[in-house]
Amino acid sequence: MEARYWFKPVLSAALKDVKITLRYKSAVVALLVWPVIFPLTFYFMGKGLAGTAGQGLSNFERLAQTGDYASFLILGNLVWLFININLWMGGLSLQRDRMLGTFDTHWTMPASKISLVLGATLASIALNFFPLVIGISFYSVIGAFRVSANYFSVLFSIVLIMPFLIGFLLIFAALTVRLRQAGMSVHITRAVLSILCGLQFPLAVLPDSVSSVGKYIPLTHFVDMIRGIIIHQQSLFAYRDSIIYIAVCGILMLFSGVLVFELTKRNVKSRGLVAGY
Amino acid sequence: MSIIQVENLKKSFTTKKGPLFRRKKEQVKAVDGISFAIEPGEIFSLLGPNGAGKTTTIKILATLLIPDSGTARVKGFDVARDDLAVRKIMTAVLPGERTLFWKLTVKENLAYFGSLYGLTRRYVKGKIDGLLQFFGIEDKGDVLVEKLSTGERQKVVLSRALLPDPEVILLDEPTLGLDPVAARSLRNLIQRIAGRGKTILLTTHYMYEADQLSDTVAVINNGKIACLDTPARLKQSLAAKRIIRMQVDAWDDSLNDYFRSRFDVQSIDAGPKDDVVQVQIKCRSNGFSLKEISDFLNGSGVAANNISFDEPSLEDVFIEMTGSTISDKEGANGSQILV
Repeated sequence: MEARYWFKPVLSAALKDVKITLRYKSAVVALLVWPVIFPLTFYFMGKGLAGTAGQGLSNFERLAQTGDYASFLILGNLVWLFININLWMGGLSLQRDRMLGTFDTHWTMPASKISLVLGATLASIALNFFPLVIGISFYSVIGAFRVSANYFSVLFSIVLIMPFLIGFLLIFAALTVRLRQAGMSVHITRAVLSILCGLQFPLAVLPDSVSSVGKYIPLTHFVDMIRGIIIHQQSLFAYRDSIIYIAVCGILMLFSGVLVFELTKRNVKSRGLVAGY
Repeated sequence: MSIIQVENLKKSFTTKKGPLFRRKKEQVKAVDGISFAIEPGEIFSLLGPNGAGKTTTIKILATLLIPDSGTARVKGFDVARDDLAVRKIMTAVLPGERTLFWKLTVKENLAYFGSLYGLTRRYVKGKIDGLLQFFGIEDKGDVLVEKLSTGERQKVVLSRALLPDPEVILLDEPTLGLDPVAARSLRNLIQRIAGRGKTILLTTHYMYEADQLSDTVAVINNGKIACLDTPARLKQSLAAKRIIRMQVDAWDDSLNDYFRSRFDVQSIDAGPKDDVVQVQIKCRSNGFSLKEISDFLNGSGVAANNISFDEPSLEDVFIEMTGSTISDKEGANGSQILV
């Protein structure tokens, strides 16, 4: 397929989604407030469990390998938010198209359908980038969170996880196209991922059999890397094995995602599931 | 050479019927071996009731559905195998006014969809003003689509369909939901689009629309093509040359016998409607006058109103070919197949 049916539609779809979102004033307010509000519950819960003078911290420190529970929780939640933005918005964009009535029209056009999914994700990243920065800045200012990381390492980690996330999101997009309504499976999957990857608590609290499953998921390695880089100022070299594992899984997941999406496309066209909601 | 060629196209769907937990699967033949060809620059209509197979056919051509068997080619490209090549030379207007983004302006919508057609920003920018002018909505370019009327939205949808300068345009029920004035305006625009050398395939269940717009009409019913020709030839093909319609206060066999012996009658339909009897007489010849009929009815003591002589219409063709009116068919089909 020619490049003009791949790259330009990604940007156009992203620009379209950004414009539409910004035309809803309440959505803009929510975008700005959410990254501040969302980790706050976990932050206060951690504060409560740690005790006013940190008397309950020793157990957490043993399980999480850090006594900085606030940074641990806030980072975990911001990563959770970031993954949500990437994983679900792209897949659910097709469901939204169905509800709006623009889905079939998109499918009569030569633009790649994967590009439209990626465009929706790009818009979501763009729309959430500044709010995430605001969230991080807020927790820095109130002293709950120290930002003294190597930014290159953070950026590298984010780029590294993207093929895995994109592959995963394409599988979700395919599910949305096939089932038409994939909301519940999205909720279950993200809850399971959140538990298995230890995004909001130390993985060590899980039974060994469960936490060992989580260690095979690249997201677990990713959140571990991010915490290590930001909380312990560790270098990327300390995570050499994780980097290789995330990269290999990412490539495999990306190919699987494209394959599943293309096969699903053919399947729904045979079964007459492109139209309707 | 035909620009669209459809040969023995078939498509079935599995539907589930019955109460929950006791649902039975049923195979429904939406399209059952239809064939037709469309020449470049032609307006071709698929005419039929809801559930006849029109939308399924147009969706196969629009590459939204893969047929079970048979072939559909657009400019030689197979719609199932070369779908991308087909989408580059053909655009589709699907029913419903929600095929645009309501929170974007008209120009933003066109720019967005232009990029999905692979068009450059400069090309789209140059083309938008001309299209809006063509459709008479040049002052609506910066207006949000949500603020437009249904008719204006349909014009924007048609503008979008013309953006990539396609050779073929598919229009699925283009005037559905429009008021009579907007529908008439849109029909005129469709004729003007065809005047630009575009090939148009449209589906409709409005007889008048098919008659007014089409170079060729295919009457489709129960997934099969019942007849296919120009509207004029379809009407000429009927044995009836003139149809007498009237309302009378009473009707009996003796009146039937008189009309049959005198006017070379093909068929007589008489049935009560409100407080009168509605009579329709199809005659193979047209050698009679209004005075002759009204004198005879008066002499027989029958009070008659609204006597009219009509030429056969596409509606009559439809009845002749399928055995009932299009509205009867729609009632009988009940829940239509929505694919």
